[in-house]
Amino acid sequence: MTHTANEKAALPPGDLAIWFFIYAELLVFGILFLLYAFARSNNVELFNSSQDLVDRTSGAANTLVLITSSYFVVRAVAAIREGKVQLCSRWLLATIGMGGVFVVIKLVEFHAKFSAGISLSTNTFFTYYLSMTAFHFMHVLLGMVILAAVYLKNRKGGYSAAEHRGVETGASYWHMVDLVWIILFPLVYVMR
Amino acid sequence: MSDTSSEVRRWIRPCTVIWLVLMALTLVTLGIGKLGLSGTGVVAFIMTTTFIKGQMVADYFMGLKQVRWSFRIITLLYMVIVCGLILVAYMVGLNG
Repeated sequence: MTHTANEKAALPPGDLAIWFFIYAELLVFGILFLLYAFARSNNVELFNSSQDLVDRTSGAANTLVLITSSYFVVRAVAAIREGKVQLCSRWLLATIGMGGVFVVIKLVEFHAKFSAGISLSTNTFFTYYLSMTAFHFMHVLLGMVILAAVYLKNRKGGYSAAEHRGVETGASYWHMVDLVWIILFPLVYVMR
Repeated sequence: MSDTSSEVRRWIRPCTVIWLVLMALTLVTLGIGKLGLSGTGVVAFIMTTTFIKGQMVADYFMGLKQVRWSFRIITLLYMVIVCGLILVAYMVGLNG
C-alpha cells in the first residue's frame, strides 16, 4: 500500500490479470446462483423438502472457516507489506490449513450425501446443490495450490516489503473464493 | 513507527472487526436456518446481510475501499444485481 489514506490507488492489489480472472469467475458463479434461484421459484416444495436433507451446520462451519482463512490471508499481506517475511509465511500456512479444514468438512458432507444414495440425478435441487458446491470446491483446491506456490516462493525470500505483488495476487483470488461461498451458503443451505 | 507500518495497522484494525462481524452474521444466518424461518421478511433480511458481508469482504479484505471507483463499482454492482435478482426469484416463489 503505497498510497496515503486519502489517495485512492488506480489499480487493485495484486496482478491486474487476476482481477479479470476474478470478475470472470464471479460472473460464472453469479449466473449459476440466478439459475438456481429461478429454478427454485418453479419448484418451491421440491427445493424446500430437499433442502431439509442438507447439513446446515457443515455449511455454516465452512463459512466460518473460509471467513477466518480470508482474514488470515489479510494478515499475511499485512506482514509482507511490513517486510516480515517469516510472519507472512506463518499466516499463509494458517490460511492453507483452514483451506484444508474446508476440504475435509466438504468431503465428509459429500460422502454422507452419496452414501444416502443422493446424486446429481436425484432431483433438480441436488443437481444444483452438488454442481455448485463441487465447482466451488475445485476453486478452493486451486486457491490452496496458488497459496502454496506463494508460500514456497516467500520462504525462498521471493517477496519483500518493496515487492510482494504475488502475495496480493494469491490473496485476492482466495478472497474471491470466500466471497462466492458467502452467497452460496445462505442461498443453498438456508433460504426457503 | 514507519509510514508503511502505520498504514498497515490502519488497514488491519477494521479488518479484525469485520472478521468478527462476518462470523456473527454467519451464526445469525445459521440460527435462521436451524429455526426453519421463511417468508418475505426473512429472505429480505438474509439477502441484505449477505450483501453487507460481500461488500465487507470486497472493500476491506480485498482492499477495494482504497482503490478508485472504476474497480470498486464492479463488485458493488455484482452484489447489488446478484443479491437483488435472487431476492426477486424468491419473491416470485413465495407469491407463486
